[in-house]
Amino acid sequence: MSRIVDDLIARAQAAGDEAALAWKDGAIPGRRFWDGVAGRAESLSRSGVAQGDRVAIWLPKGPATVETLFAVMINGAIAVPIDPGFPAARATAVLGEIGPAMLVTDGKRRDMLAGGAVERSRVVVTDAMEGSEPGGDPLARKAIGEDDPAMILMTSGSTGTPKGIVLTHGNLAAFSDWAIGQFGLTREDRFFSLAPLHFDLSLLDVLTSQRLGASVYLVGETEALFPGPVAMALERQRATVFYSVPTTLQRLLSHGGLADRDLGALRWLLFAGEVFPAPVLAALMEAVPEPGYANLYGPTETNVVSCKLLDAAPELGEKPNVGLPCPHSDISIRDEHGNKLATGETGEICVAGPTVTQGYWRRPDLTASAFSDAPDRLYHTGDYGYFDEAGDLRYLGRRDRQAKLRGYRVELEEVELTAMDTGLVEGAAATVADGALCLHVVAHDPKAFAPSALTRALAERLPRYALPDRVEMHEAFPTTSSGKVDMQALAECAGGTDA
Amino acid sequence: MSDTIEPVVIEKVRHVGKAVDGDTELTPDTPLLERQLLDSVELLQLVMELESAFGISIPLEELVEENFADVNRVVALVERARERAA
Repeated sequence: MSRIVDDLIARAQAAGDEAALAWKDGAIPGRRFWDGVAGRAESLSRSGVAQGDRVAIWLPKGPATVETLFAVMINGAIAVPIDPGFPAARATAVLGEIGPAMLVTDGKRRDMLAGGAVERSRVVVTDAMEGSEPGGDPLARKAIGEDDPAMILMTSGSTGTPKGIVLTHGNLAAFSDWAIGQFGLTREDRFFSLAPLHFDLSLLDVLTSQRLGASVYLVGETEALFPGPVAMALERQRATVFYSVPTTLQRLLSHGGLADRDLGALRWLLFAGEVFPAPVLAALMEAVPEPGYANLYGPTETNVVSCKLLDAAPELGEKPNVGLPCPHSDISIRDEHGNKLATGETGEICVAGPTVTQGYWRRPDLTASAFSDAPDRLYHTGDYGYFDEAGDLRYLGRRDRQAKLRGYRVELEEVELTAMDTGLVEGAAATVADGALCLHVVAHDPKAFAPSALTRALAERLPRYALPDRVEMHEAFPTTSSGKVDMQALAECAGGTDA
Repeated sequence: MSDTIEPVVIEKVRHVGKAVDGDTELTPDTPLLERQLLDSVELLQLVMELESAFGISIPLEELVEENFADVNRVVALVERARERAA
């Protein structure tokens, strides 16, 4: 039986006038929120959505979106939140990959989609608070197992198509249980949700908050662009738990006046997704001294598997410390043959345990290359590191072409393949330096080539965070002695004209 | 004064916005945020470029949604900053 769904239904039955969700322009008490979830769950059933069906949710962050997400999961269907900022071509690619029984979106986004993608799915267009009829039928309890898929989270794929990571109900419960225990979370907490719903960070602030019967403040996409008002909302909401990425926290500090806010209510400031530069973290801890700080680590395929509680910022030059393995995680460092390595030896970080997901939706090839079953389900993260003498995991980076740009995960091959796909270039190679993405290109017609036209064409196909910060033109790419493109040489010459 | 500020603002939006190029329709009332023409990093870059182009300082309190809704609002923001500086 799904413990997550059991707990959510119990919360729905006990819900009253206490705040459940709040956002910029309003708030909704628990009773009304769960009535809304029940109304939507009923409407999904009536539309013929069965257990195991995928339901794509392509909507801006807000109460109606969260109601839909919960309704899908409680019905035993699989929720697939899609980045509301995706261009139409990418949303279409996701729909093609996932094959949802239903797409829940709004009129504006429905109009953006090409006919084909819409025809294959049954498109249901939601309106702000439609479906939240008070006093309707209570939530029906379905037979849902811990191994049944609950959600698919999309991530960048090196084949040029996004891939879907399949999370079971048991995966969600294992992470949520750990977070509740580790940080002593209760229904008295007030969560602050700045991360998008298609990010695994929302499994803490949105899912775990509602599992506990606590409240959560949802920061909308446009609201999230302005650090000052976000910092004010943190203060105004008297948030107690905030889980974010270093890039965002850095911007709140530098441009949001975070140091001037009264954040006395904040108990935990958690971050994950990228290495926090030590001097910036030190400045943040000085500006906001109240909460406990913790660096969480784990790719979406495993969710959080280790945690470093921080009393002070790390020393300059120290290897990034992502802490002790969570009790549920069996982390091993392995060589290229899969043999376990000893303390102090560097190898690939591999993870087993109940948060390890099933793999990629209908991509047995990709799943087989990253997951193994000998003897336990093991995920090979592609991250490299070692265990130090204290038992802490040290993160050293990657050896493939997956990059983190402002906390977003991007496969550089996907950017290159998409650039080739535009037909504007005959060669494309992406490099990253100081967090900036440089796309090196050989143009078909150098005289007529405009870097801005390429970036614009990419913007119609890629998420915003995967767009190059610079486009560099080359007559030909430098090659290594074996005739391959010399990525090292390209990376070294990055730093020229603006895109 | 605003008729001299406006072309500069439009040029800067085209410059910082990766999803914006010369062909993107950009009028004084094109909704910049609603159409997602600028992201969080580009907004801060726009502010810095406007500050150096006009020799002004835009206070953090002015970095709010309402002041960036369209080009007209950004022009008004620059005008206020210039009046303060004058």
